[in-house]
Order: sequence, then C-alpha cells, then structure tokens
Amino acid sequence: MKSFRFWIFLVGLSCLPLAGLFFGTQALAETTAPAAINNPNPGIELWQAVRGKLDSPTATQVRGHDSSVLVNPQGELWMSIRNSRLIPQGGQALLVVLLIILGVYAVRGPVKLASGESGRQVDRHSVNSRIIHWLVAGLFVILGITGLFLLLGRPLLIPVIGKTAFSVIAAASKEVHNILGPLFPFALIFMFVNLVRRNLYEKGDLAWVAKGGGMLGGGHVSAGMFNAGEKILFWSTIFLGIGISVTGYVLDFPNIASWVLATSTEFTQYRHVMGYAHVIHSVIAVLFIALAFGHIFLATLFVPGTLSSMTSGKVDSNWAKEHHDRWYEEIRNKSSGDNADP
Amino acid sequence: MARMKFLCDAERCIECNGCVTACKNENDIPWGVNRRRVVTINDGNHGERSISVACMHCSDAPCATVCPVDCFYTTNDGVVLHDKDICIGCGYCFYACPFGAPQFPDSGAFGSRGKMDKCTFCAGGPEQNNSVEEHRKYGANRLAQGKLPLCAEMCATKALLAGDGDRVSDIFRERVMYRGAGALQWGWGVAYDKQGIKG
Ligand code: HEM
Ligand code: SF4
Ligand code: SF4
Repeated sequence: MKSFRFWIFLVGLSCLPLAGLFFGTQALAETTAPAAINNPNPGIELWQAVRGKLDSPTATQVRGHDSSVLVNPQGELWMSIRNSRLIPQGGQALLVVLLIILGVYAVRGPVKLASGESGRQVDRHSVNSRIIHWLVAGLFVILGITGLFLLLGRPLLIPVIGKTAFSVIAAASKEVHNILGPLFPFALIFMFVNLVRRNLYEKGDLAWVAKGGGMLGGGHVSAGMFNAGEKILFWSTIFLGIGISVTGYVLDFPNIASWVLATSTEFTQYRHVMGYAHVIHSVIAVLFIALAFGHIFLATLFVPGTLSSMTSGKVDSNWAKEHHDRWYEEIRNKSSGDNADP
Repeated sequence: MARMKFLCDAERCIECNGCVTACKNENDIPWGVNRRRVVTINDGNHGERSISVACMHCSDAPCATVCPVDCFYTTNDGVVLHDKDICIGCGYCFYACPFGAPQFPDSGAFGSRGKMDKCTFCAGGPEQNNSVEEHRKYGANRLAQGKLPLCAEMCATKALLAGDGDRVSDIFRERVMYRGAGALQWGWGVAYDKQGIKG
C-alpha cells in the first residue's frame, strides 16, 4: 500500500512541468504583446529592383539592352546547361553515333550489288543539283567543324595543343562561322526548290520504312528516285536547317529583332533570349551533325556506287535497278520514248 | 592574403558618375566601352537609390567557367583577370556574368565583337606590371603601385568602397551601426520619425 502511494506521488511529480506549461501559456496570453515597431525594411524592394524583379523605373547612362539591370541571374541557367549538358553530353552523343555506325558496318558490311556492275551508266543528278548539294555540304562541314571547335575545344584540344595555339584556331573558327553561317539558309533554299518535288510522299514509302529499307525481313524493297530514308533525310535537313539558321541569325546579329520588328519590347535580344537561342542552336547542331554522319556513311562506305551520282552525276544501271527500281523504270520509259539506248 | 572586393553603399551614392569618369580616364577606355556604370533605381520617384557596378571579381567566376578558350585567371588578391591575347571575343562571358561586366568594342569583320574588356580592379593584365603593353591592353595597374582602384578613391561621398574584403565590410558594418535600424534606414522618414515611410 505504501509503495502504491509512492508511485502516485512520483507520477504527480513528473506531471508538474506540464502544469507549469499550462499556467505559463495562460500567463503569456494575458500579457499584451509590446506594440510592433512599424519599421518595414525598405531594403526588400530595393534589392528586388536590383535584380530587375520589379517594374521600378531604372536609369543608367550606359546604353545596352539591359544595362539598367544591376543583377541578371538568368545567365546561370545557360551556364549550367552549356557546361554540364551541351559539352559533355553533346560530345558523347556524337561518339555514340560513330560507334553505332562502325558496328553496323562491321555486322552488315557494304551492300554490294547482287548482279554486279553492268558497266552501263545512267544519268542521275544534273550539274545544278550537284552544285547545290556540294554548296550545302561544304557550308555544313565548315560550320560544323568550326562550331565543334568552339563547343569542345576547351576540354579536348587545350590539353593537347595549349591555350595559345587553340586561341588561334578558335578565333578563326568564330570569324569563319560568323561569316559563312548567314549564307547557309540561302543554300538550303536552293536545295529545297531543287529537290522538293522528288521528296513528296509516294506509295511504297511506308512499305520501305516497314522493311527498314531492306535491313529487316529480307525481300526486295521497291523505291522511286528517292527512297523513304532519303526523304526523311531531306525533310530533316530542311527543318533542322530552318531551326539552326533562325537561332544562328539571332546569335550573329544581336539587334536583328529590333531591326526586323522595328520594336524593342518582347523580342529584344536580352541575355536570356541569346542564351535560349544558343542552347537550341547547339542542340540542333549536334542532331544535325549526327544525321550527317549517318548520311555520309550510307552514301560512301555502306552502299558502294552511290557517291558517283554526286560526283560525275551518273550511276551504274544495276545500282539504279536494285536500289531505285521504280525510278529506273521511269527513266527507261522516258529514254525509250526518245529512242535512245537505255 | 587580401581578398579584393567592391562595395557600393546605396545610401550614399548620389549618381554623380564620378567613378565612371575616373575609370574611363585612368584606364584610357575606348568609346562605347563602360567598365563601370551607375544604375539608378526608382529614378525620379520617392525612394530613389543609385548603385555603381562593375566586375565584382567573383570567387568561382561564371565568366571563367564558360570561356571556350579558358583565358581567365584569378590573382592572389582574388582579382579576376583575363588574357586578351587568348580571348576570341565570343561574348559567352557576357551571357554568364550576372552583373553585365564584360564589354565588347566593335572590331573585326562586319563590326563583330572585339576582344572582351572589363574592370581589372586597376590590376592590369598578364603583361609585365605597368609596362606600355599592359597599359595599352588593360589600362592602369594601380595595385602593383600599392594603390586601390581609382573609382573608389575618387568617390566624393565614399559610397564606393574598394579593398580587402574584411576592411571594406568593417567600414560598412560601422556605418550600418551608426545609422541604426537596418542597412538602409537613413532617409527623411527616420529623421522626422514618420514610421512606415520608406526611405
Ligand atoms: C549548318 C550547320 C551549323 C552547325 C553544325 C553549327 C554549329 C554550331 C556550334 C556547334 C556552335 C558552338 C556552340 C558553342 O560553342 O557552345 C555554333 C555557334 C554559333 N553559330 Fe552555328 N552552326 C551552324 C549554322 C549556323 C548558321 C546558319 C548561323 C548563322 C546564321 C550560325 C551562327 C552561329 C553563331 C553566331 C554561333 C556563336 C559562335 C560565337 O559567338 O562565336 N550557325 N554553331
Ligand atoms: S566578369 Fe562577371 S562573372 Fe566574371 S568575375 Fe566579373 S562579375 Fe564575376
Ligand atoms: S569573349 Fe573572350 S573572355 Fe569572354 S568567353 Fe569569349 S573568349 Fe573568353
């Protein structure tokens, strides 16, 4: 019995702090809080205005798109995208594409003509077509190489050749890229006009895609002047080309929006606009270069006999029969109409 | 080792642009390039404040991390400098810099960007200290002469402070203590005891 009372006493004792808490909060609620000092911190608005977050009128004697913004934090996004995505992942993507191409070549080897060469040549591309093709290709290779120097030179070349030598290459790359870049869309327009008629959808294109261009399922794949793969290449070139040219012009001419639109409001080329243009330009560039790797591989190593269509303009008649049967029929009908030897 | 810093006291700057002029003169900066600028916030309104800004000589400087030719270096005094012999004038440092510090004179074909120019904390560049070559490319090297940047030395109200970060913050802390209630409580609202009026 005695010990029971002792335990009650002990539990009561341990509850005492709780009681203190209860009366304490009551006492706090009764005393009125001292009047709050009405002293707002004017620094809040000032430092928000400093970061350009308020529409407060700002002025400076220095001219520039956003020279009256004291702190512009938007470059940080661009910086992190370029440093930790574009440079490492762009480089890796191109490497992976090259490895895939090597793999495909090793496994499937070159696609030789089943019936061998006939020795008879047929005309495929006119002089105009060839000039336009090499104009686009030449500009593309120069722009791609100079652009990649700027993107990947610091991690890949500076450790090998040093800063001074790389600076010479980079300066030349910048100058050449800035001057030749604006010509690229014009070459692209020529190419569009020249080839668009032959790159529209035709019956048989879907079947060509379904058979993977002959890589899947075996059997013969029928194609016209351009097969579906080449049409995909054409339209990708056009759309990637438009994207890379628009963003390229934005980067090259920092006042172009104001000139073209004769306004300087939403489209003013502020730093973040340039940042977005640069990221889109570089992402398209990597895709475009990967596409070009594939195109060059197919047209040279993988399908022998193709390259001559862009050099001499002629291909072997068996090449035409096997790879572009419907086109071969077409030109044969045409030339037999002319009474010429097919 | 000192860590050089600028600080502009927004309660003192009167937008006289003396620092801008001092900088242009001391460093023989070409037309169109402004290493330092004064920005006035709330211009013409109540609560107007001005702040003078130039390169802030960031630790882990963003400009340096994006430069495709890696031409920036940080001196032992914590000053961020660059090598104009290596710079290609691509403008990437300007995209990355939060303060709009890098500047580009027109040059090259079709008026493309020339080599970047920015505040050097009056510390010149990689050339021999105070050589003719150094002055031509980067302007003054006052640090090598034991002097501080001229913009701050010329500032009539001592709003713009430059020097070892510890000393600069000591001076500013003392000012804030004297002003009482917060870094910015110094305007007529406080003087006339009009609570709630900012500035
Ligand atoms: C055809 C293909 C093109 C490719 C593959 C290409 C590729 C690239 C690459 C990889 C960069 C470097 C990005 C970096 O360093 O972070 C770049 C930058 C740039 N490109 Fe292109 N580009 C092409 C077309 C164009 C066109 C058509 C224009 C202009 C109309 C243009 C203008 C620019 C400009 C201004 C830069 C910034 C370089 C600098 O400021 O020094 N590019 N390009
Ligand atoms: S240029 Fe800009 S980013 Fe570079 S150190 Fe100066 S303030 Fe920092
Ligand atoms: S402008 Fe010069 S310093 Fe600036 S990032 Fe380009 S190369 Fe580097």
